[in-house]
Amino acid sequence: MVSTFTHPARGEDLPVTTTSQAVAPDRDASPSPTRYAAEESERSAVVLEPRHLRVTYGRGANAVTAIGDISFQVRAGEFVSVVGPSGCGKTTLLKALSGLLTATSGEVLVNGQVAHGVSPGLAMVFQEYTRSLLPWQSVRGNVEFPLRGAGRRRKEIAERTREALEQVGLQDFGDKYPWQLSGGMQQRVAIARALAFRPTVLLMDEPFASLDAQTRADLEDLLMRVHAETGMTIVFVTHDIDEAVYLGDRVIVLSHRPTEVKQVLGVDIARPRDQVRTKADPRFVALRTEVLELILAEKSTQQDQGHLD
Amino acid sequence: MSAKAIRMLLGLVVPVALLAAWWFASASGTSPYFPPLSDILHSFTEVWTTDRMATDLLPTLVALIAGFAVAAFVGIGVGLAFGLSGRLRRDFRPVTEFMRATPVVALVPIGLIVLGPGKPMEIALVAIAATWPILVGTADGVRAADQVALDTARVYGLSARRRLFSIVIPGAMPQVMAGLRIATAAAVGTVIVANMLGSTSGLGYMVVTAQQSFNILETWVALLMIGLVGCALTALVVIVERQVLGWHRQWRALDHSSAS
Amino acid sequence: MTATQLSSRTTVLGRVAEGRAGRTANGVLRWVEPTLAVVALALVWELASRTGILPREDFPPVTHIASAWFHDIVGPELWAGIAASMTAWAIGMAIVVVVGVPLGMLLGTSKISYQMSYLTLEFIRTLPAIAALPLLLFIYGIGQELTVALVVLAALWPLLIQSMYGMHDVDPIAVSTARVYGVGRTRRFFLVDLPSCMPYIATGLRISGTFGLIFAIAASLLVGGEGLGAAMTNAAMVGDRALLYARVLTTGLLGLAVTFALVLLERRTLRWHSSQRTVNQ
Repeated sequence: MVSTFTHPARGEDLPVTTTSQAVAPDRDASPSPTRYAAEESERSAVVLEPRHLRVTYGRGANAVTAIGDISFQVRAGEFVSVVGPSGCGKTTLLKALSGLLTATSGEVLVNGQVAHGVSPGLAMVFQEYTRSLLPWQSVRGNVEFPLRGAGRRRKEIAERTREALEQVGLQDFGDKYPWQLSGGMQQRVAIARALAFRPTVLLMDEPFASLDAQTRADLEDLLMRVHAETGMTIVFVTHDIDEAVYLGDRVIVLSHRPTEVKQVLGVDIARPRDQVRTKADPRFVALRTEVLELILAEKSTQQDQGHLD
Repeated sequence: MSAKAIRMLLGLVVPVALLAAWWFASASGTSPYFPPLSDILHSFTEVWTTDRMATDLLPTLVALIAGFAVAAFVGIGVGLAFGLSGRLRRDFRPVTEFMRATPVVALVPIGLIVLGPGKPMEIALVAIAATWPILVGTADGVRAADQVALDTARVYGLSARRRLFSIVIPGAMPQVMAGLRIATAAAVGTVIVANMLGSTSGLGYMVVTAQQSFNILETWVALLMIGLVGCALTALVVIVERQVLGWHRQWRALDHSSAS
Repeated sequence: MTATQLSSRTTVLGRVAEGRAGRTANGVLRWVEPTLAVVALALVWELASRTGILPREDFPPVTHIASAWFHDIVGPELWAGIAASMTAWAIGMAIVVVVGVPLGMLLGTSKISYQMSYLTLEFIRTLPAIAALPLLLFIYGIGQELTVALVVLAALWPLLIQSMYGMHDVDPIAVSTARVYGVGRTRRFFLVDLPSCMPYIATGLRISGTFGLIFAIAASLLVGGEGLGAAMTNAAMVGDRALLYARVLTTGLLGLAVTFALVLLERRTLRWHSSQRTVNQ
C-alpha cells in the first residue's frame, strides 16, 4: 500500500516511502526542514507489526486478558490512528508495541525482526507531558537528553535540537524550564524531543487528551505538518474519534476487552487537511459516523456481557 | 517598597520585638535565672575567646561533622539500595522502623559503655543518630522516581545506569535534602547529649559544669553558643538545599495543593 | 512468559508490572522475609558475641538480653520508669496541643501575622532544645516538672508551625464557595477552615509527639529521677549490660508504639487528602 500526499510547499504528489531504517538527513535538500531520504522505487516496508499479540495480567481465577489477539501492519511513513471503547487497553497495546511490556504470547516485529524488550529506533510521547519531562533540565536539555550518551558529537546534537525546536515553534524557549511553559508547549517539547531523536516509529498515547480544545487543534495541525515534512511513521492512540479520522491515513478500531482489531478503515481524504474544511467534508462525516457506530456497538455488547468498567 | 522587602521587614518585626522584650524584662527583673541580656552578651564576648573556642567549640564541631559525614555516606548508599530494591527495603523494614522510632538518646549509655567517653563515642553516636533520616529520605526519594519519565527514557533506549544517574537520583534530591535537614537537627542534639555525659571538653560539658557550679551566666553563655551552632548548621543545609533544588522550589511554588 | 516479566531488573523500574499484575505476596506471607531478616541479624549477633568476635562484655549474647528483658518486663522497676516518662510526656503534649494549636491557627489566619511569624518560628525550631536543660534544672530542680517543661519547650514548635501552615493553606476557593452560599464566619470556621487544618495538625502532632518522647526520656537520662532514662542509667551503673540493652530495646519499642499510634491518627484524618490517595499512574 503506497499512500500519497501533496507536499504543501511543492504542490506535487509524492509517494511516501522510506527505507526501512531511518537514515541521516539529506543535507543537500532544499532549506525546508529535514526529511528522511526517500527511495522512490521501493514499496513501503512494514516497520511495525504486532502478530497475534496477547496480554494477560494476573493468574488463575483473577487473570484478566487485556488484549486478546491483535495483529496489524504499519507501513513506513503511515499515520495510523487507533481508537476503541474506554478501558479497551489502548495504552497496554502501545506499551506492548514499544517493548515496555512483554506480551503473554504473540510477538511484535520492528523492521521485520522480532522485538525482545525495547527496540532501538522507537520514540513515545505520553499523555502526561509534565511527568515525561525532567523538571531540572531546560527545554533544550530535555530535547537533547535521549541523544546524549550515544557517542554523537556535541555539534550534531545541538544542530538536531535546534532544528527540532524550530519545527515545533519553540526556538525561542530553549533556555526555559518545563514548569514555565503551558501544557501545550510542554507537549510540544516532548514532540521536539522525539523529532530530534528521529525514530523509525513514533508512538503516541493520547498525547493531546489533557489539553484544551484550542491547543489540541493547534497541536493536531502541528503534528500533521511534522508528519508531512519528515515522513515519520506515527501510531497515534486516542479516544477522540474526530481526531483519529482527522489525522490518520488509516483508523484501527479496537473491540472491548479482550481486545482485538474490530475493523480497519482507510481514510481517503486528501491532504493537506484543515480543521474547518476537512471536518465539514461529507467523507469525513461519513467516516467518523462509521467509527462512532462501531465503538457504540462495542460499548453496548460490553454492557450486555456485564464487562462494563 | 517592593512586596518582597515588605515581607522581609515584617518577618523581622517579631524577632526584634522579642529580643527587645527580653532585654528590658531581664534588665529590670529579679529572677536569678534570667540575668540581664546585656550581661549575658558581655560575658559571651569575654568567655568565647579564640582559645576557648579551640578547646570547647572546635572538638564538638569536629565530632559533629565527622559523624555527619559517615551518616551521609552510609545513609545515602544504603538508602539508594533500599530505594531500588523493594525486596531489600521490605526485608529490613522492621530494623529501619525500629531505629527510626527509637529515641536516639537511648543509645548514649550503650555508646558510653562500649566506646568509653571521648571523641570516638561522640562521632559514633552522631553517625548512628543521623543515618536513619538520611537513609529513609534517600530511599523514599528514589522510590518516588516518576514512572512516566522512566518509561519515556526506556523507550528512547537509555541504559539502566543512565536512567539511575540522570533521572532517579536528581529526582530523589528533594527528599534526600529533607532527610539531611532532619539529620542535622538529630546530629546536633545527639552530640550535645553525648558531650554532656561523656566528655571532659566541649559544649555539652561546658553547659553541665557551669550548671553544676551554679554559674548562671556561664550556663547562658554556653547555651547561646549551642543555639548559634544549631542555627548556623541548619542555615547551611538550607542554603545548600536552595542551590541544589532551585528548580524544585519554583516548580512546587506553582503547585499549591500540598500539605507537607 | 507473563506480563510480569519486564526487560529491566530493578524494582523501581519494574513497578508497572507490580501494579498491574495483582498483589505480590499478600497478607501473612509478606512478613516472612522481614522476620527472617531480623532473626538472621539476631543470630549473627549471638554467634559473634559467644565466639568473642564482639567483646562479650560489651555485647552480651542475644539470649542473655532476651532473658534480662523478660525478667524486667514482669518487674515493677521498669514499669515505674515507663509510667513516669509517659506521664510527663502526656502532660507535656497536652500543654503543647492546648497552646500550640489555637495559637498556630491564630497566627495563620491573617497573611500579615503569618509573614511576621513563620521566619521566627522556623528559626526557633533550629535551636537544640536540649541545651535548655541545665537552665530548666535551675528553675525546676530534678523531677517531673523538669521533664514536662523540657517536652513542652522542645515539642511546641512543630505543632505550632504546622497549625499555622494549615490555616494559611485553607483553599480560598472553598472559602469563596462558602461565602457565596451565605455561610456565616463562625459556621464557616467549623465547616471549612478547621477540617482543612486537620491533616496539618495531625502531621504536626505526629512530629511533635515523637520528638517530645525523645526529650521525655533524655531528661531522666541526663539528670536522674524516675523516668525510663534513669532506669537505663541505673542498669549501666550497676554494670548489668544485658539489662541495659534490654531497657534500650524497651525504649525503642515504646518509641515504635507511640509513632505507630500517631501515624494511625494522622492517616485517619488524612484519608480524604490527596497525598493519601492511592497513586494511580
